[in-house]
Amino acid sequence: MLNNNTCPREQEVLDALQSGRMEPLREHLTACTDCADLALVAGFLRNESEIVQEELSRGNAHLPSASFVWWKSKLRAKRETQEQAMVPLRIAEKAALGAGGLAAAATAWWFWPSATQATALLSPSMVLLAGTAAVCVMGFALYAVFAKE
Amino acid sequence: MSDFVTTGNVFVPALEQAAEETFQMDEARFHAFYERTSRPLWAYLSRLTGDRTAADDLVQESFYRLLRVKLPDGGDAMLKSYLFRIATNLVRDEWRKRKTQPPALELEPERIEGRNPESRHGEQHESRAVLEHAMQSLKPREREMLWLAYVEGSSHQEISQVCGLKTASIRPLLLRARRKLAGVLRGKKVAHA
Repeated sequence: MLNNNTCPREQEVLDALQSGRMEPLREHLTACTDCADLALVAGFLRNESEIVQEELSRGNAHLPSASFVWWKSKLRAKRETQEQAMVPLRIAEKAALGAGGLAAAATAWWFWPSATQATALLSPSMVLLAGTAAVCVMGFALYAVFAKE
Repeated sequence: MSDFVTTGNVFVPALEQAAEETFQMDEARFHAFYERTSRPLWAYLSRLTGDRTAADDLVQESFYRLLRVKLPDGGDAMLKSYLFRIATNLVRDEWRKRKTQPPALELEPERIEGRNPESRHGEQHESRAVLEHAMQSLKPREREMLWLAYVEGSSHQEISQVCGLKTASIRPLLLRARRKLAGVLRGKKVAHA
């Protein structure tokens, strides 16, 4: 069972570590395991923190400036706002494309009997030309819609 | 036309202004806050992740998210707690994505001058190596708590906010982590205190 009680002099140990004056606490640290643990652990961690801070000061580790982070954040926020603003337009575009496709299918279905009669009167080359033109126009329309994405 | 910017063939009203309005502090306050907190945050992240490049990216991401998050009214201490909480969550997400524990921190001995063990830097290097190995034996949450408590000097309440735990559970968890780390450090037979 873990004993969760801690020594009441812990803050004193931390203060001594901060000021670097551990001597008055030497006796207590040999008698109190908790405070000895605290001094050991906090000492190592603070030492590590000091090394990291020193590296940052010496330029061994790079940290971007506040202005750079602000500027980059602003750019990113702008891009995200722009993307959000474009969502309804993209939905409308997709809906328009769907509606156009349905209208085209309905028109083709409606005029199919008369179209077959008409093509019977035309030469095969004319039919081929008209079909190619229709495919080109549809292809261009689809490209115009999806190219942006 | 100055209120509009073009995006492709569509006009979107005042994007730049709208973007900046989503920020929760103005530029001057951000600068001051960044100067105060970016270094401790970088140190915290580089220790947690063991990866300096990742720490660079996470610092920027943390500040960006802090700028955009809706914050309750409060002083810089509260803001700092939020910042560390965001950073901690980002690190956890990163670990979850990788499904691995953080790698060992590169000590980069070539960057630490004076490798003579008698010199201060030599001692620092040795101390770092010992701590590095000892920290590997801890769970990520234990590392977070120990760093916050003994380097940042955070209160139990602040640690609970950052780590997403109940305040009452911080004391026993911190004590356990401390005993565990002390045990491992003693095992390395290095007297530091």
